[in-house]
Amino acid sequence: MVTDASPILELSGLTVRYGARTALEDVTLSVPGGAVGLLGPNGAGKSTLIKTLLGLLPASAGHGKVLGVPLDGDMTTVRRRIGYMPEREAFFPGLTGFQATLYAGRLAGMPDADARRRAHEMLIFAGLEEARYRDVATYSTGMKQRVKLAQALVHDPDLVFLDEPTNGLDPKGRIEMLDLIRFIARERGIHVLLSSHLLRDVEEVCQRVLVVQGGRIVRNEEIRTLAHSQADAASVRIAGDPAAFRAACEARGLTVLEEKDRDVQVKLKGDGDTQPLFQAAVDAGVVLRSVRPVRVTLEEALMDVLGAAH
Amino acid sequence: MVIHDRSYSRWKGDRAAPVKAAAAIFEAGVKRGAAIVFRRKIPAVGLILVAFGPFVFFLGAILVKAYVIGNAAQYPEIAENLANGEFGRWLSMSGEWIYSYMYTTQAAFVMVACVLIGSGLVAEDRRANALEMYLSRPVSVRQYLLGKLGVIGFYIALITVFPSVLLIVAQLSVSWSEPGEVMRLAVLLLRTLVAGAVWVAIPALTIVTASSLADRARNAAILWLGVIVMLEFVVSNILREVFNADSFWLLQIGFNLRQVMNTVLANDVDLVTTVPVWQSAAVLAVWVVVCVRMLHARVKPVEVVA
Repeated sequence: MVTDASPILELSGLTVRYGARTALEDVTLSVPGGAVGLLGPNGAGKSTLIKTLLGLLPASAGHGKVLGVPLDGDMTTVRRRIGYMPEREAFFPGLTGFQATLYAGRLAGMPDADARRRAHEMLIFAGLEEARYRDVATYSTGMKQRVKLAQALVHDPDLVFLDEPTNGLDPKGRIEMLDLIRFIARERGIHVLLSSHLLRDVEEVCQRVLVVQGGRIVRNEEIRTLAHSQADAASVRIAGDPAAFRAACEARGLTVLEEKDRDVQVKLKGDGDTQPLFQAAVDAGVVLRSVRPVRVTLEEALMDVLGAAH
Repeated sequence: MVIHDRSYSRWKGDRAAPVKAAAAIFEAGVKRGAAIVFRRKIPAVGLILVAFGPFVFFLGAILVKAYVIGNAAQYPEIAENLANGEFGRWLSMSGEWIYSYMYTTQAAFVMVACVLIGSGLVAEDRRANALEMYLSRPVSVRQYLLGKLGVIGFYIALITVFPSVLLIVAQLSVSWSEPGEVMRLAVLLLRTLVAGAVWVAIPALTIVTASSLADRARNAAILWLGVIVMLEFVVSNILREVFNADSFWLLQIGFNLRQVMNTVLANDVDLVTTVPVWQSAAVLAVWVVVCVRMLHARVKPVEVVA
């Protein structure tokens, strides 16, 4: 049994090959739990990693544990505690939303009565109350995503793998889907591994991010440390001559990182002291309209990480 | 006003209870099979009446025979005829009778069941990407296949083995006063179950294998029928004529089934062939092995294209 303190995922040297092609290479990581984003460009190996963690793909080398159970152990047992929402359109043919969710519960080992009750609850939770008695094949893309979420959650897993859950959703549907995921992660304590190529999705839901590039994990850290304020740089908006301000900054030992119209990014000295900026403004005869710390967005940080990994 | 919690609640059930995945797949498959058959209600009812017509007739005949013989004083001529006449003897269950009912009479309905219900069992799952949904849950490939084979096996047994067993049981129920007859029928019941298992297993395995090779039920049905027709009526006959060798009978699944079932049922039926039964049994065993291997190769959660 996994306690709150033990990691949900522990991988060591995990390698997955499809014939001659290496899809995952020497993946070593430990993930403590909570809502974790799996970020990376298309083809980076995100879905392969999830399928390997589910035991659907065999590892060519290395080993790992999911919820404390070894990947080469009895994965059918651990799958009782895992929910999975696949990326592509997938459904049990010929069933209504309710029947499909009930069936998913039965396949996960729930008694019929419990599976029935949970199927109704999950479909209502996912926003499919009205449509639950319709054949899934007639659902819109957004409804299919919702029923996949209901099926992933019907057996109340401890860990849920969500592979591109907002694919094909309109803006309203996307927000609603992310709200549901955030709710189960934060309010109900279910560990979430959210795979997405959309940075905003991960940023809105997750506390931690795994960045995958070319089959390797190139970053595994908290989002707040990846997307951060750069303490030693300031973004300044001025009223006056930018060239004179640049010259005054450089005369006071400050480095101008970027200059666009009247917005200037300046690297500060030492512990981020902004006083030299004001002195440079006086020297140049310009007015400082605003001084803000430079914020590195997740997108910028990710581009840096992916750029460095190339 | 919200009168109950509509948000996510945790499940407090038994998470260690054994997973009966094959049973769940079987149950869902049987319901879906019935839904497919009853998609068009009138043809479905007609098909069922025709399929179970012989069973109802024979059941009625067995009961009437027992009643008439039991009341021979009232119907002496009819009772004598039923007890010792040709029709009466024919109504006394035998291995030949069971073979004739299960195989000859019901073969067409077995094919209909395979095409209607069996052809989509795996193909429709492949088409809807449902294999990933099944196998990402606590369901093994073996459990999945057992559940699917159980579905078509159930429907084949429903129109072949179950009626045969019921008829033997009906005959038993009117024969308690004759220990020799009871023993004969008990042995016949066992032989029927074994022969029925062979008769259910081979069509079930082959149609589920064909289903796993296609992404649509229609294509799987065409593939299965094509292979059966080619082997049964074309290739085997041509090769037999060209080479004048009985061994080419073995290419016919039906021939091998007939040989094995008749042997199990202890029937002295002349199949006009020199092919020994063990060879037919071996060929059926090869079919089983090939089908199982193909199923394991085709039923995968992830299609890997290297």
